[in-house]
Amino acid sequence: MDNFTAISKNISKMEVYLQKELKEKTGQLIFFTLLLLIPNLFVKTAAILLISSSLLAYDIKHKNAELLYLLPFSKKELYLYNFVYLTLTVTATSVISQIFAESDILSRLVFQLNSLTLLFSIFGITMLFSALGRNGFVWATLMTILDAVLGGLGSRDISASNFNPYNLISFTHQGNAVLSFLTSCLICLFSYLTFVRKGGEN
Amino acid sequence: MYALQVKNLSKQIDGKQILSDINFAVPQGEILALVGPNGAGKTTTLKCIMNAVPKDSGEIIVFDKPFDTSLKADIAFVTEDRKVFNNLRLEDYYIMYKSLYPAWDDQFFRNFLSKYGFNLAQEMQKLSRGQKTLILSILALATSARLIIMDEPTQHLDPASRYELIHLIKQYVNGNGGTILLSSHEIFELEEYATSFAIIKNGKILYTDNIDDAKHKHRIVRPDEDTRNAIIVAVIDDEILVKTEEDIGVYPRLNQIIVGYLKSSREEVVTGGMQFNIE
Repeated sequence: MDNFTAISKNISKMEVYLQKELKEKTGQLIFFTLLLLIPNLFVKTAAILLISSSLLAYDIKHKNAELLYLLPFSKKELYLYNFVYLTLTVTATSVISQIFAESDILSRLVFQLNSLTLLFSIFGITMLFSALGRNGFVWATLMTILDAVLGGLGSRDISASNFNPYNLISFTHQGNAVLSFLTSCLICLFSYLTFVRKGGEN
Repeated sequence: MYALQVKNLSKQIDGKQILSDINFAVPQGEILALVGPNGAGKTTTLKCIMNAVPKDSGEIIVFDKPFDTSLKADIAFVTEDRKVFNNLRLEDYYIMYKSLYPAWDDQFFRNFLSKYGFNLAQEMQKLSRGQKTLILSILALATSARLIIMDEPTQHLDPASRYELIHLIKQYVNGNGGTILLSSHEIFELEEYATSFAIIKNGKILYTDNIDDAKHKHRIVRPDEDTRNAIIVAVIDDEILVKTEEDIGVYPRLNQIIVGYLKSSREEVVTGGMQFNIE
C-alpha cells in the first residue's frame, strides 16, 4: 500500500469515528465547543477538561470503548483521532475568540500556544488515568488543581529568592510558554505510550 | 489451514485467573463452537482474540499471521450483550460498517433489510434485543470478513429468526468459504450448524475436536460393561461416557459428550483429538 492510499484510508477511518462521536454526543460536544469560545482562561480550562473527558475517555469509563475495539480500529488510531479532533477544535475556537481581541500577531500566537499547552496536558492526563483504569475526568481535575497550586507558589522571577522553577513548566500558569508547551507534549506522549501498551498494542 | 489458532492464552482480571492456557484452533471454512457454562471464560476468550481485552500471555494467530490490528478488517464480531452506540440509527451503522470493511456485501445487506422490513432510519438502541441480535449478526455477515466471531448468536431470538440465522451462518461457511467461531451454552442446537467444538470450563479447555471425530472416539456404556481399555470421562445418570477406540457400548450424542466433560471431575485437560501444532 503506498503512502497516499494509507493516508486516505486513515482519514476515512477517522471520519467514520468522528461521525460516530458527533452523532452520539451531539449536545455535549456543541456545548463544550461553545464554552471554548469564551476568552477566559478559567472557562477554557474547564471546557478543555470537559471536552477531553467526553470522547474516548467517556467511552472507557462507561465500558463502551470495547465496541470500538471490536471494530477495525486500533487503540493507537483512536487516541490519535481524539487528539487531532481536540487540537483542531481548540485551535479553531481560539482563533475565533481572538478575532475581536485588540492584540498583535505575536500575542495571538502565544494565546494559541497557551491553549494547546492546556489541551495537551489535560487530554494527556485524562487519557493516562483512563488507561490505568481510573476516572480520567476526576484525576485530570485534581491534577489541574494541584498544578495551579504548585505553580502559584513562590515567584517566576529567576533572580528572586523564592523562585519556583515549576511555575515555568506548569500548564496552568505557563511561566515560560515554550517550556510549558514542551512539558505538555511530553505528558501527551507518555500518555499515548501508556494507553497503547496497556491496551496490548506495541 | 487454520483461520485462527489460540495458543496458551491466559488472562487474569482483578487477581482472578479467568483464562488458563487456552488452546484451540478453528480450521478455515468451519464453524467452531466454544461451549461451556456461564462464567466459563467464553466471552473473555473471544474478546482477547480481538485484543478488546488485552491478554496476559499467549499467542493469537489469524490466517497464519500473529494478530495485528490491521487484520481486524477481516474479522467481524457480534457481542453477547448486543450493546450499541447511543443515538445511532441503522443507517449510521450501515455507513460505518460499509466504510470499515473493504469486502462489504451491499446486496446481501439490502436483501435482508427488505426481507425483514427493517428501516434504515430506526434508532439502534430502540430495537428489541432479538432485533438487535439479528441486525448485528446480519451486519457481521454482510462484512464478508473471512472470520466472524459471534458471542451467543442465537440467544434472544424467536424460533423463526433463530432458524433463519442458523441458515445464514451455514450459507456463509458453505457458500462463501468463511469461518465462524461462536460461543454458546445451548448445547442441544449445536449439531445443527457447528462442525467442531471446544469445551471450556473454569477458564480451561477440557476437550476440542471435530464433532464427528469426537463421536467416534467416545462411547456411552452401562456400568457393568468392560471399560478396562477406556478412559472414563464421567458418569451421566446411570451411564458412563468413556473415551476409547474399542467397539463397546453405543455412540454418544454431542450433548452427552459435552455434559460428560463438564461433569468430569478430572482436573487435567483431557487430550483433544483436534490436530494442531502448539510450538
